[in-house]
Amino acid sequence: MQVQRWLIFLWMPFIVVSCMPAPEDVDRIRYMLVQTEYNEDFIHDNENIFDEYQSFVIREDTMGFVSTSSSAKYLIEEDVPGFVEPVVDSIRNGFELGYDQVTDDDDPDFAVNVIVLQNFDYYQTVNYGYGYPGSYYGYYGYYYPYVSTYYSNFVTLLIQVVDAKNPNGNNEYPVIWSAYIGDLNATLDLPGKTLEAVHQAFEQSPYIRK
Amino acid sequence: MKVTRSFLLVFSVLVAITAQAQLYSSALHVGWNTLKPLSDTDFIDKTSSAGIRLGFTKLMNDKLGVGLEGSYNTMHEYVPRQTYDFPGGAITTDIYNYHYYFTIMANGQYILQQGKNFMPYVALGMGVAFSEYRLYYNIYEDNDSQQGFVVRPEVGTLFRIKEYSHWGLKAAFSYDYANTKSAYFEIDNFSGINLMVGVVLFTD
Repeated sequence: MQVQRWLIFLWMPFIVVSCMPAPEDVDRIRYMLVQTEYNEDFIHDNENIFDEYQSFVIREDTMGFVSTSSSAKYLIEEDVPGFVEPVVDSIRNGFELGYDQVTDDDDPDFAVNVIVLQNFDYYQTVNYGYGYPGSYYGYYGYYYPYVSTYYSNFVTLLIQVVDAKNPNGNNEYPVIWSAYIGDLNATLDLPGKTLEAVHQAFEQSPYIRK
Repeated sequence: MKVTRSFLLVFSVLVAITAQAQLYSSALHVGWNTLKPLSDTDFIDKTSSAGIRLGFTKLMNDKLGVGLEGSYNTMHEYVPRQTYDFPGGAITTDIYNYHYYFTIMANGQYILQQGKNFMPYVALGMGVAFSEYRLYYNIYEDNDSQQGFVVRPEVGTLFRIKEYSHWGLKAAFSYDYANTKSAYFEIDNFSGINLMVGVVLFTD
């Protein structure tokens, strides 16, 4: 009988193991994460290159797409209905508050890249620099974005401002600003939460104003 | 601190009404543990009742006992969405701060009085603490695990449900100090106060 009484306590480790609670998924995805980073070579106490910019170019109705599970290079509205166009429009509208949208032929000051990264492992190795040989559209030249983050294996919206005026000797264009928004896959309201996050990206980047 | 005062009051009353001793040779206890963090309350301030303790005590004589005890608590706090600036950028998110806290320690106990039903004691435990600090934000996580030395002074009482019963109850109030600081999250050594209530299996 004594042994039986003591055996009652053997179930305790199972309780301990099962008592490692974590927040509910639905609570965790209430808001998308918004991370923004700027190139400190071009934006610092004595200089803000955004003050010098006048015009920008953006590829409308299209997002770049980088995935380890798909060979597609672009997303259009038909690929993700209700997402691509509203989000690109929102990003364009954000920049239009301070700058004029022009075409490639109009010699823009900066380009805005909008890219969805899916299951793409990328890690911080260097700071921003000159990342796009020959073109400031990263995804046009089959060059993966030159990003800086520790996220991996998630679906992230990446917005990048690439300077179009200051290529280096190798004809590479510097990335001035980046915004990472995620996770696009887990959210229960992809268009709504993404638009909210895009707005926040501008909100927390006050230097993008003339 | 209201809980602390209430407990000390109850504990004093129990000591006062203790009657004649009734010895036991060993005791196994399991209890529900409530833990209030005192350190780094900007990381987690909320009292956690998600804790458990399991221990064994062997009496060396009618006053002194030695034992082993393991405990586990989860503390957490929700930080509403806000923007954090850092050199070269900013991040906006809401965060769930979690601290998973394990201890394994040996202890010595001094029985103040072996009563008919109540057996108040004081104890000092020392051992190893494991702290896992984890941040959940959206689907992302960031964590840091640390282990270190922990010390736990404690006052409490055992209570036999009836005379010669093998079953009893236990209540204890204790203070934890563990050097499980996290440089990664800039969290200092952990300290907190525990209130435990549980059941005891005696062997006479």
